[in-house]
Amino acid sequence: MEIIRHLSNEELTDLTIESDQRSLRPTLEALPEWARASTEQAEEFWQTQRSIVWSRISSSESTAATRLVRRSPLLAWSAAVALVLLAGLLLDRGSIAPPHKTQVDPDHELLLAVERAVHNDGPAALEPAALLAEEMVQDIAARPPIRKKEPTHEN
Amino acid sequence: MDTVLTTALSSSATEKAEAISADRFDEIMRQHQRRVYRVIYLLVRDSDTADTLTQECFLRAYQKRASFRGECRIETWILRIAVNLVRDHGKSRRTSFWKRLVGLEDGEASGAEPRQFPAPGPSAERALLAREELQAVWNALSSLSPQQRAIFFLRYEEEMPLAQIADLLQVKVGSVKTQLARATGKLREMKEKQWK
Repeated sequence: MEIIRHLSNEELTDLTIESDQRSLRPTLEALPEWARASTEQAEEFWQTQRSIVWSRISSSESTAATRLVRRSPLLAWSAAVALVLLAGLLLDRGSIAPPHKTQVDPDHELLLAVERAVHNDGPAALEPAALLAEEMVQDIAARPPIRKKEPTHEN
Repeated sequence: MDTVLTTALSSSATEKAEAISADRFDEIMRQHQRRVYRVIYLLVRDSDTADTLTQECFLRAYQKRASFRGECRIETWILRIAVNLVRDHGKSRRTSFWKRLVGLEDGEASGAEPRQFPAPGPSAERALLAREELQAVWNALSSLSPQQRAIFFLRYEEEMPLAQIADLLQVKVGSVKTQLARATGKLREMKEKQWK
């Protein structure tokens, strides 16, 4: 049995166009010539068209330049006014700024707490160790300094 | 001889924005003005409007030339500006119609005087016949959207590849194919009615 593949939409469109083109061949082949003949103009027409385009280009450029020149003092004045307003606003803010609040510095607070802890007595459980350490320090202080062993001349 | 095919597809692929000086722009304008005018004319069906919009297209291209990064052909970029202008023109014309209807705008006297040039002698009759043939195509495609008409003319009149049309209109190639099929279908329908 023969399997017939279905054509995709694009393939169908291509076939439709091809079929239409075959049917319309004389018209489609003549179309470029009809269009060229219908739009045929004397060379003067094309020259004038180019001149008009160039004159419109130059007039649009000069209009743009004039507009810029006209606008530039206005722009400068606007910028100056805006600057003055901004400066005034900043100065005004500076004068009515609320008084500084004394803020609590958390680092400073922590330092104070550590200092307090160091000056306080240690926990009672560590008292014997502290006593022992004190005795060791005293013992070391009372001991005579260690002398260097003198070299022997037995040999 | 300069034909649609040669002028359409032989331009340099990319052009850097820095390279577009005034002299270069004049050269670009000389190279593409006929084509831009032709595409606009096919879309708006009026030679004076096509002339005005062609001028506007090159003015915009000059003003925006720094934004051209060379990602596409310069002709694609210019034609994109042209097609967008035609789209905007269609919108403003509809707005203008409603304004005129409610009396907010005066008649047609909004643009400059149409320029008068002598038609090239021997081909005047040929031009007339060609316009009659084009009129039949326009009539057949009148029920389509402006985008579908643009795709049709870019494909068969300008002989542009589908990928370039997709790039120009900034849509997918699949979408270009679908819309092209609608346009050819309409034209075929009209031709078959004529033959019966």
